[in-house]
Amino acid sequence: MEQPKPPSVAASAAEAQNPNAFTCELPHSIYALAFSPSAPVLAAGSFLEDLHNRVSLLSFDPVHPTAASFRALPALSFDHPYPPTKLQFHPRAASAPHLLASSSDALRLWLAPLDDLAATATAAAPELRSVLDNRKTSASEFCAPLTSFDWNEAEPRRIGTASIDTTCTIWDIERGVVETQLIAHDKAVHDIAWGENGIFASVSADGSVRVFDLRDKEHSTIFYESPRPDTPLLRLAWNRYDFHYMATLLMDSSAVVVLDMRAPGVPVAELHRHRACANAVAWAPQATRHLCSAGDDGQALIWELPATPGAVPAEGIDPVMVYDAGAEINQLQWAAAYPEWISIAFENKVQLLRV
Amino acid sequence: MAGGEAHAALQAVAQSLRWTYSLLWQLCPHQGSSLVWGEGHYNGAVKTRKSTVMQPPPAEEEDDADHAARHRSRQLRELYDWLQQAGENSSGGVQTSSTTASRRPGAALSPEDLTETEWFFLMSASYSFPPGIGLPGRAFARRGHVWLTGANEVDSKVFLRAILAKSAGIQTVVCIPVVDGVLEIGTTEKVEEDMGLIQYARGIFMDQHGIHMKPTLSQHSTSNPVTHCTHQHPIQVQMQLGITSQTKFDYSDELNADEENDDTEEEGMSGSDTNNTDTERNSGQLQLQMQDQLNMVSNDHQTIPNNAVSSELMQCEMSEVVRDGCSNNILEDEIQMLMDCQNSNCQLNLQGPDEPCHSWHFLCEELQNDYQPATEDQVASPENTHYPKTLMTILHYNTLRQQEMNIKNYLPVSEKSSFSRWTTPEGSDDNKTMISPGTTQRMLKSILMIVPSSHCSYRGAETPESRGGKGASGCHPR
Repeated sequence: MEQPKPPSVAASAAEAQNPNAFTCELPHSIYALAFSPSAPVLAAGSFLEDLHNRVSLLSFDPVHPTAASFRALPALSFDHPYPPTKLQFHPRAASAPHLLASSSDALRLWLAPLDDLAATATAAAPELRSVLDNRKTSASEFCAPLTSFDWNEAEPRRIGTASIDTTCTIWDIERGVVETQLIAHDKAVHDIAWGENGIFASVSADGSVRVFDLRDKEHSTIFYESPRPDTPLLRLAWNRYDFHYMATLLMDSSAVVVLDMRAPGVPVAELHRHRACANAVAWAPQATRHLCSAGDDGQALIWELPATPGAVPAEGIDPVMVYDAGAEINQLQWAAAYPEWISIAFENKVQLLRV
Repeated sequence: MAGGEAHAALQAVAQSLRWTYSLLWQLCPHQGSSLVWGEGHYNGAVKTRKSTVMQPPPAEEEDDADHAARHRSRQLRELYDWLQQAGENSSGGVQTSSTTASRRPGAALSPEDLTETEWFFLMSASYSFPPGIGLPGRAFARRGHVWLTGANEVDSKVFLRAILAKSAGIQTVVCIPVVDGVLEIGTTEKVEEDMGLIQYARGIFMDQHGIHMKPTLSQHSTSNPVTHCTHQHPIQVQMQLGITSQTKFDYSDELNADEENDDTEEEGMSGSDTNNTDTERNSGQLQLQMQDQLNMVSNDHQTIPNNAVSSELMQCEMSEVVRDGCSNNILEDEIQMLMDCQNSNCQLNLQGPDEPCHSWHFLCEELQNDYQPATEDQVASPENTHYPKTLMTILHYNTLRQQEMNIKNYLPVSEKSSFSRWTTPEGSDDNKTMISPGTTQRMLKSILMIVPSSHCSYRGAETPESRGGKGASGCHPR
């Protein structure tokens, strides 16, 4: 294989070699990404280790993409306190106001005018609609920084947030109040994801995946624990198309661990082809057994799980597709509205990749 | 109210004994007095709930556990009712079944959510027992308990649900006659016959249930006969008509028992010889009844040929469905069996996937046998016709789900894909070169661990500003 080059040169080389990848450069490093469920728009959150950060909205043409059509909409950028740990649009495509949620020191909801992108020259910037802050309920001066959140697709009035104070909080965003707060883990909670019917899962620095049912708040199931004691789990993705499957990432590990709800405790697969640590994972929005992962090796890999869990070969599963970005990929999203598009973030670049 | 009281009684029995389940078989007087499922409480392993994270007070914990078990029992019953309805609809076409499936409440259980033990509990609801047939029928007919140890190893002629018990690991089943039916309890433990336990269970049940109800004749049962009667297969209806005289005979026995309590006690204590004698006597009577039934069936055939033809067609149709179901779905259901394994079996199953396949093949084989019996055997076990029908509904349901999933198992890849096909890289030098320990998950760790910890210090620094002009920006409304 080609020897590694300086990041900028490698990126240019990759782009020149791949006319089907589209790149948008922004003024700052990028971490959080979110596709809109109804409009060809991508939200990107900056990563500045500072109070002042910025969220940009990018538009793309999903049918006839060109380098020029994938661009930022300056009028729709807005300031955001602290780097957002996660961005997500309201999951219902038909919702009249396009709501965008962000997490950092608190959960914030923004009104994003995506209805007429052609009129962006005169449109107002997204407006902050509400701040959901734990301090109001705890009556404490200390904030509880949020590591992630997830918007319930079946019940969009619910957003679950994950916090470093070991809790998961379920918000009723229509009333702006806490519906439920659970002490979910022994250490910081790093990610949360909704399943079906009021069930959600979370991962933690304590190394466990736990599953909760809002109908039975006194119990939870330890669904998986990292094989090395106290190795934190960093991210969690729940397959929205087949709720049997989840995927999680371990700290300092290149593996993507795939879990099956019907076989707790034992992964159905561990995907081991990244040559450096894995940073992000996402399930295909309209397929049951496909997922994409990205890591410090600069590669985005698309995997297909075997139909029969027992069919995992001893030497491990190879991915079916690979993309090389030439630099550490920090974020990855697979668009539900346009399933042929994946977005990745590395350095100060957002790329649109066609599957 | 009667149902609620019965459930409370069953719950008390199952939890006091710490057995896996308890259920009440009740007479269905409208259709010739067969025993059908009246109420049940499941007290065994549940697949999706295993640990308590919070540490609630002991009393509260017990209440929560009780509530969860009752809720689970209700969910199992609801799943059974839905499968019943789906089965009836599926006979009218696949489209109807799909429509029914899509109408299910989102919170309802699916067959995939069940452990094997829950499966046994649920499928028991599809059985009914004329007096003298099956464990409940025998207990009812002789007005004495029937204790079966090794339920998961006996022949299905001895215990009709032996196949299900084998899969579920149910080792002990006990049937105890009570005022308005038969109390059945079961456990995954192997327990030898124990008269004290029987008296204890009956006492708990009657304390909760019997005291509030005067003994009633079966014709005036306080349960809902209409619901239970819908479980009857037309053949069973005819069968039960023929058994009416048997029921009357049982009443005579009951009256005699009431009058001669001492004799009853002696009979109970005399041991297995007496039991065998009773069994032989009942068997003889049953044979006489079956001969009468055969004559009656013959008469029906002569007088109502259409009904007979319809019945035969239904049987042929079900037989074909079974055959197709077995041949088409064996592979898929092997996967299901593998997936449905319990925690303790997961490792074994992953290492030796043949075991669940064997279990499934065994079940299929028995189904085939059930559908190719001699007429006499079929008459002897009419309740088996109901269980296969329900199972066919489940196979059909699984087939639909699998077909739906298959549609989306294909990932289309565009000719203009940004990705390229994966090729196995060769040479270890590349591996070493690409790994950069210094940049391990740098941004992800920072987002999760470093930046959040800095929020407080920044907030402290910002506080003076936020009280002034920053407030106007709207970022921190107060």
